[in-house]
Amino acid sequence: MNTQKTNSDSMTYRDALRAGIIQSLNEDERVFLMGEDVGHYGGCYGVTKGLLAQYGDQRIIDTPLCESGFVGVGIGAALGGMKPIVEVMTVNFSLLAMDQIVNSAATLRHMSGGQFNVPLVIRMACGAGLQLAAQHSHSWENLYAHIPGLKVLSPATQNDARYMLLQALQDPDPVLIFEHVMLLNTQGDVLDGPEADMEKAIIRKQGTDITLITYGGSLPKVLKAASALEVLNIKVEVVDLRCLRPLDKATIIASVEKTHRAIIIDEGWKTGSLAGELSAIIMEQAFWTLDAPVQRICTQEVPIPYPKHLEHAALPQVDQIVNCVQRLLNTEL
Amino acid sequence: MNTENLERLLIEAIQEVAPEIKKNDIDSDEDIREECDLDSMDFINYLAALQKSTGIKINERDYSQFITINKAITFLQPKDKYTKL
Amino acid sequence: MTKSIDITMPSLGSDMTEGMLVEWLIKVGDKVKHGDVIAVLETQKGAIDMEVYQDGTITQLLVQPLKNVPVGTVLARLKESEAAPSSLNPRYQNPLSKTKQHSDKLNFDQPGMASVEQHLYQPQQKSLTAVQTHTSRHTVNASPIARKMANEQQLNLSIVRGTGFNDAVILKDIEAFINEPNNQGSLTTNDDKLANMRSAIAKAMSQSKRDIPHFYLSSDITINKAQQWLQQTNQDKDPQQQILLIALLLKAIAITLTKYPGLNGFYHKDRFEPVNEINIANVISLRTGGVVVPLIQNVDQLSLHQIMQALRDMTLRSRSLETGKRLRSSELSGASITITNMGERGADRVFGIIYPPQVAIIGLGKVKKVAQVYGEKINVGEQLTVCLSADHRVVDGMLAAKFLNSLAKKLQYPEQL
Repeated sequence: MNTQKTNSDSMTYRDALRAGIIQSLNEDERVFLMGEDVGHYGGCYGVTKGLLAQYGDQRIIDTPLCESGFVGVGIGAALGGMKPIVEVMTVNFSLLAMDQIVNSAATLRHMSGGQFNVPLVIRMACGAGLQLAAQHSHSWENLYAHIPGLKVLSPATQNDARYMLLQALQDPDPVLIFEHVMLLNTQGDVLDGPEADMEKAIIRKQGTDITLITYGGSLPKVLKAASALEVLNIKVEVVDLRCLRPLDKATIIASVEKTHRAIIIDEGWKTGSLAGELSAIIMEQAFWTLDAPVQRICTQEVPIPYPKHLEHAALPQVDQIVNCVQRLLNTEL
Repeated sequence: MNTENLERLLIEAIQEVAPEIKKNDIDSDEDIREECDLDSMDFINYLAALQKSTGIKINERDYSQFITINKAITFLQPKDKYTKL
Repeated sequence: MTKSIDITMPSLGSDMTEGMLVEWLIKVGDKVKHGDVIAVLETQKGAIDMEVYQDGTITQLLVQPLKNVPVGTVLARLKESEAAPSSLNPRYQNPLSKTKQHSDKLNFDQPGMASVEQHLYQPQQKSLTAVQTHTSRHTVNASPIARKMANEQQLNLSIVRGTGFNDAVILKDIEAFINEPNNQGSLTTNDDKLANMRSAIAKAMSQSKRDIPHFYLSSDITINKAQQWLQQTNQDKDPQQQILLIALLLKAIAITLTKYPGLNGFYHKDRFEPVNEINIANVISLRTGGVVVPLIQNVDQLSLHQIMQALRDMTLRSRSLETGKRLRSSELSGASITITNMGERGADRVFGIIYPPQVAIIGLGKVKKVAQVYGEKINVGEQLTVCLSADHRVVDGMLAAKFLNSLAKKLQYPEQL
């Protein structure tokens, strides 16, 4: 299997995703991939390029443009003993499949008294930054993280892109994987295996002064801000949530208890956001350890603009994170 | 009211006048005035606090019944049915 | 015409040279009445509620909480009300905690108070106009962990300079404050408080024994009738209505003092100044060590029940200071004579040391059953020894002896007290 690279190779997030899909297809014949343009076109974002030729149209299935239909088929296949990977091109279109995801996939195990579980994995591209305008730039991870019965993953590194799919396929219940479009071309190390269980948050950078909590497409921005702050002798701890449902509260709280301050960086809108949930968890469980009010850096409350400068202004950015940290630590110049 | 609750009220009344006293400092069969270093003013305040918390009227001729915790419990317990306890 | 009046750090005894304002309970613009508690002070006598002696409106707060300032420092200013009722109702003005308008009338020249001049406290960091009214801790921005830490350290957050978000007091500010040796005073532990109290007692008593030529007289006073009367009076009474012997003794002493004003007053500037009111201080021993000596005003004019009520209340507050109960500043300054009752603790008699600037202290011993001789008969009766320590600069033995004799007579007619 020449595509399965190991031993800390550097690869793009896109290649890591593809390697993950290939490994899962190789290891379990119940696994198949379906979605819009995943076959002949090679995937809207080029993730599945070449897979049709390699695995044939029984395992790489192009579907019609009908999200509720093929997600429903995926649920049925999962109930029937298969291990489907359904690619919903982007989270933007997943609204059309929302009834299948929320009312069927998430509930069947409970409504059948545990008789039927749905071992389905749905992959979706998400996020803004490619000038795709309001209808194609959403961050709705939070909508799905709201729903009991689902697990929601947000791989932010090449290694997680490489291994989280395999972890998700081990899970007996529906798992949604959000792949941020701005990460696809990023390059990074891929190890021999996953760094942690899929439900565990990972401290991406150790620090003592402040905890920055983030996930997915915002992680590189946060790490960049952390490096900039290091020059100013501010030691930032970066928590990569990885799993948005269930949240790894223990890791979050332990970090906040150490640094006494927290900022949450979330590309969703602030109102009703996952950032709000995280802030509430910190208030509930770590209030007496706080040395500053919890802050949230989220996307401006507008439909994501099309013009480049406005899109940039609407999204959380590195300088915003740096400023917020300095303001919270009262080290502004 | 059971013995534990009564004992708790007695200890609380003592702590009204002598907050530093802990339950374990007191031998229930010993004179609390010596056990807790209460003078006559403290003792009166103790009885006043007790009268308030138990709702049982404490008459001057019964003061000797309150010298130890156990005596006080024995004295107060039968009065239960006549009181709000 | 309205007068501006300075409210100063009171001296709660000749041994007190400075005190700490812990908390303002009023803010600028508040109307206050005589007797209102306006601040909490931390002194060598523990935490004290500071009262105001005039009616009026607070115009300025000049000192920030948790600063130690010398006695006499102007803490706040007040604009007196138009119709100043104080002239209609000339209540006793505490000579040791008086405000400026009275200071020229009575100017004590005591060691420890001698050089107390009216002076403005100058805050070091902020100008006078910028002094904020920290009326309560709610106005201080502080992080949760800073609050928690301050609470553990019993530290008032309002004096810690905040460097955090919105200038809030944060963890590192608390740590810096605690580690600053100059601030140790703000972090008094119970042990510190005891040590402070001990040193205050030491100072006052040393001064007394050094400066006051004491002499001592004692008299065994028969109290058969007093005890009988008490027994009858207390019969079938509940605890709130009880009268103890000490109340009777206090009343008898107070009435006797009205006839012997030479024992009731202050000695200063080589001169005795009698005080018109009988304000008797009582030594209350604390179980945790040390004593407090709060006073009851106008004891001669109070009923036995009122005296008893005052004693009970004072004892309760004095002995539970740690639960937040406090004595008031008016209770701790201006006593004209002191009583110490060691009889309850088993002492036959006690010869007290005079608390300056007073000129006498009366010691009460244990009530004992004794054989009493009446003509040719011997009777079993009860007696107690009353000791009088007096300042020989002011009083002579004869007056002291007459006082004791008169007191003994008073106690034979308890129903008249």
